[in-house]
Amino acid sequence: MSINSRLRRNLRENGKAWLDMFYILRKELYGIFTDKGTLIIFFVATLVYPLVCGYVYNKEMMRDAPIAVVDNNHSSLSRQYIRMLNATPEVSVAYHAMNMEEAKSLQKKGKIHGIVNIPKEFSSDINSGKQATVNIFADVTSFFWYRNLATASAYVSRTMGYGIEAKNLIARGSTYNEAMSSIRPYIPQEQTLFQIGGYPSFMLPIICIILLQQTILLGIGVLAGKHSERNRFRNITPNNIHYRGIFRIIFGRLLAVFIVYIPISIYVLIIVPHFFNIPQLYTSPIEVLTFIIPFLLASILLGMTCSVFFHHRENAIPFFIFMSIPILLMSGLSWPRESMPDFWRSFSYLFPSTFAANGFVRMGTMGANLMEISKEHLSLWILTAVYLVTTFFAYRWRLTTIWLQTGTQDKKSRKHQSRFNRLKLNEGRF
Amino acid sequence: MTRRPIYLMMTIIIPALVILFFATFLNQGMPSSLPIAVVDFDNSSTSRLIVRNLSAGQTCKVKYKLTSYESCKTKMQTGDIYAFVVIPRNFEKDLHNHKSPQVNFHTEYAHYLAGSLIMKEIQTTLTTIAAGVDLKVRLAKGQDYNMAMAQVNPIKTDMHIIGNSMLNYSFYLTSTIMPGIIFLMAMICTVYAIGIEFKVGSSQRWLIIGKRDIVLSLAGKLLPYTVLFSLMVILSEVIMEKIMGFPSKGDPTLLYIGAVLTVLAYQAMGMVIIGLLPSLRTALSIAAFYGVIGFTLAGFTYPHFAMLNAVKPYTYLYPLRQYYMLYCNVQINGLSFWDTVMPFFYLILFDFAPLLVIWNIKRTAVKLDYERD
Repeated sequence: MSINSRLRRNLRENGKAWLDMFYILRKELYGIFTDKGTLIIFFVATLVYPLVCGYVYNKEMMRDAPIAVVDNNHSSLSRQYIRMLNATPEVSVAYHAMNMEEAKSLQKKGKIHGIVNIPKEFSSDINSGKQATVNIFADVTSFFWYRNLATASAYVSRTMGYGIEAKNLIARGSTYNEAMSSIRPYIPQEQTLFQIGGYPSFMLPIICIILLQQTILLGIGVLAGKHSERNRFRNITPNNIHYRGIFRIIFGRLLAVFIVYIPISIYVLIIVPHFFNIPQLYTSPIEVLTFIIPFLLASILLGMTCSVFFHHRENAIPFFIFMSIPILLMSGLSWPRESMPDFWRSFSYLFPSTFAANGFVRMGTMGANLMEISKEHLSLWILTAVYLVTTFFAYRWRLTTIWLQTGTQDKKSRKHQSRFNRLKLNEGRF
Repeated sequence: MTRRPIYLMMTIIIPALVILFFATFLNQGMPSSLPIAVVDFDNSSTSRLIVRNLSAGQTCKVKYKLTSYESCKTKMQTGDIYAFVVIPRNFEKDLHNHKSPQVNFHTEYAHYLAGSLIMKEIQTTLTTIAAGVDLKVRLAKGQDYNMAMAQVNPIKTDMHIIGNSMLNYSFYLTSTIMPGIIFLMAMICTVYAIGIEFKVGSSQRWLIIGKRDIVLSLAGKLLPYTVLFSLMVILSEVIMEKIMGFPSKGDPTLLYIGAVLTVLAYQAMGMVIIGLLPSLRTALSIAAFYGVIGFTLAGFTYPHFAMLNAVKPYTYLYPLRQYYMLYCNVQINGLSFWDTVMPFFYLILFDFAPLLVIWNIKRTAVKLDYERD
């Protein structure tokens, strides 16, 4: 047979592939919008969850963490120290405890989250030119308490120390300028290169990305489970003449979910951060969309690959829910990538959210353009290609096992069989 | 139960995977050797001293020595470095001429933990070197070392971290998330176990086995899971204490009792959800949604103190918050039973919630007349 005639035959047989694909696309969209469970996952969860998180993480910085002070010195210097501590944005002195026991019992009851103990010889040490020590006891129940108290006490000790040193130097006859440059030969200065944000600006974009991926995986798993339950022979596709080629099924489904997720992505990634005033330094939303397209495609294809294992509608839910938090940790944003064990670092590359979260966060907080996140962008396209292949094999495995079971392995008889079944189904309905 | 593989997955495999993940993922305790860059415009002995010292610390490591500000910015945007330090031209000369030059450092906040740790370390290193320069000048003038040290740094801050002496970050996360996911599974499993009876229509048989008494039927159905999940949580607590070396000041038995009560409380919440929404899939979606928000609201990642006043009351809807308080009270602060009785009280309170919906569970089980999807 010449190539030409083979091509012609192929065209004749598959000429309607596009039409089939659009038929499947329409069917799938109809399926998504008429299923209550999928609607909850695709629309309600993505609508509500970012808002809830945004409201919970409302304050950018934690200010005025309550602490207790034990002042054993009772001098003007120790009082100055406490005043300065109280004036920092990080902590506020809530209690003046008589002794350490009292302060510790306050901490145990959760009234305060840190203790500053000023020793008896604080002022006499400073006045006699010895080094004075202030003891800090941090609360370890949350990282934030430690961070605030450590920052505040270090700042106060440093600033007050400079003042004391300057006074001593000037008393010994230095000029003001000489004294200042001797205390601080150079000035370490933190610069704000990009907009500084707090915990919410850091957390919300990551949550949004992971939310998109997890709802896609969940929704597709639920839909596939539904197909498995409803269709004949527990198949993942209806027994319908349009569903006769693997690729038209894959692309039809892929496009259906993709079309649904474009507006959702715009809402979750662009409108929600804007609503909560989270720094978004990218030049145009089009760049975000360009970056997010392969992320959506890869997530949908990953969902379709996994979905062949779900035989019931509900089974996907426990499976994907427990994974959300490990995926969040593995994104490398809350826990630095350099400090992960190699195994988990490699494992994290399986999830599109890892690349998407890194790229999206850098676009938002640092104004990175598509060139600067090209590594992530390319990785997402590679993942898309890989998951397209795995989806093909997964679907082929599921479909051929069913074709074999039902004895319709060869293409021609399968076609007749499905036509026959369709007629029978219609008979049953009417 | 043994017939459906999903039960095995929910009760044994997922909790085991969670324990395995958290036991190995954060084994480094604290991030170290994070890459940063330096732009040294001066290239003098003092500026080189600064560069060397930046690498000497535990947290960061100078990975790139670049020549322009712009290239640093690009490196940061491509995600290769977390921070960079710029030492200006004529740095050493200005230093000797008492001109107080500025050393600028830039960090980013996209990596919150890494960013804060690096900022703290760079600040400390730069301040220490500044003090060192001051000290050298004083020693050269003939001052006594101790005297000079006290003059340079008159107030020293000693940090005592009670319980977590290494400042292990993994501890902040693992101690509550690891049991938290198992609690979440306990709730989902409860919803599933009851909902599947409604879905396949076997709930009437289930009631007959339970002598037509709904309380007895529910207890018979859910107790095996209570035992399984409690054992899993206790296993995770034992692993945290014995293998991962987390602080344990109080009586672990109190925490074990707390774990059983929290499992019961989550099962109670599961019953409430399936009681209100008898359709299995809707109930599971809602339960998952409710449970996942709990990780945000429990207050161990983001303190309860910093939340909006309008949000605070909702945190009491989550047994996980009580469990977290109990963990802090018992394991970190070492309180006795009577000092930490409130979390126990709240946890037991959760168990009464299903009484509100129990009639609906029974009605649905008998009539199976809920709205299916």
